Amino acid sequence: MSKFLRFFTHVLPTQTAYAHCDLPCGVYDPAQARIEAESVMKIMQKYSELHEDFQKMRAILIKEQRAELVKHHLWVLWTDYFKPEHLEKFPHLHDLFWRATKAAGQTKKSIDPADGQKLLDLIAEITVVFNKTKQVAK
Amino acid sequence: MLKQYYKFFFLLLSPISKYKISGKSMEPTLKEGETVLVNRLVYIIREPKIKEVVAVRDPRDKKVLIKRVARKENGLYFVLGDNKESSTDSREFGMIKKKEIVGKVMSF
Repeated sequence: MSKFLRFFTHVLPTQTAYAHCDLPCGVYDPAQARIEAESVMKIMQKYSELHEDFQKMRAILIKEQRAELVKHHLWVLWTDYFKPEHLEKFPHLHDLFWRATKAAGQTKKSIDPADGQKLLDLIAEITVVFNKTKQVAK
Repeated sequence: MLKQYYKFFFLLLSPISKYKISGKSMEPTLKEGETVLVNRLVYIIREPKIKEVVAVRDPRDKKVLIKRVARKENGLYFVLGDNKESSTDSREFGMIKKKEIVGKVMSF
């Protein structure tokens, strides 16, 4: 190392540069959100067949949890998987995720299977975009 | 107080910055805890080249990262860690613009 560089190594304040890995697996798939949304849908369909209060309470509780998981999986895809270049190719992506997470929120309040189906349809739309990005990556 | 001015002066005006590596994504080239110098002027004169080790700003949170230029496309740069099994890089945050490249790592 030259004297010039050695001088700099002594006088310069040290900053931190990260050579890190914040997600080792890199595995993403909208199927996670879809499976949870299918659970939400099934609970909505079966709710009317339930007679005991404790069964209804349990169904609502599980529906709430599954809907929250749908939101979580969608957010992971939205914020971690999709990148700015995807947004350039699919400009409706933000709006699509906005509507899908809103629909997931709506399934918490509702026992109408139509709301569950709306959520599944939006996840299917996201899956189409996801598959297209995977094809481009290959 | 004087120390703060000194630090401010070097951080802002020095053509060379000194960074300590945190993380293992550049192994085996750069190990955790190693110190590197970064030339902040070289890319004003020329474009970053493929295979060069560079300091870049993470487009998500602006932290400085050390990565290697893997390819260039339409003025954008795809950067990767040498330790590809354990690296958060352009595979994660996408291609980066030249303005997000802080400089060239010059000694390790």
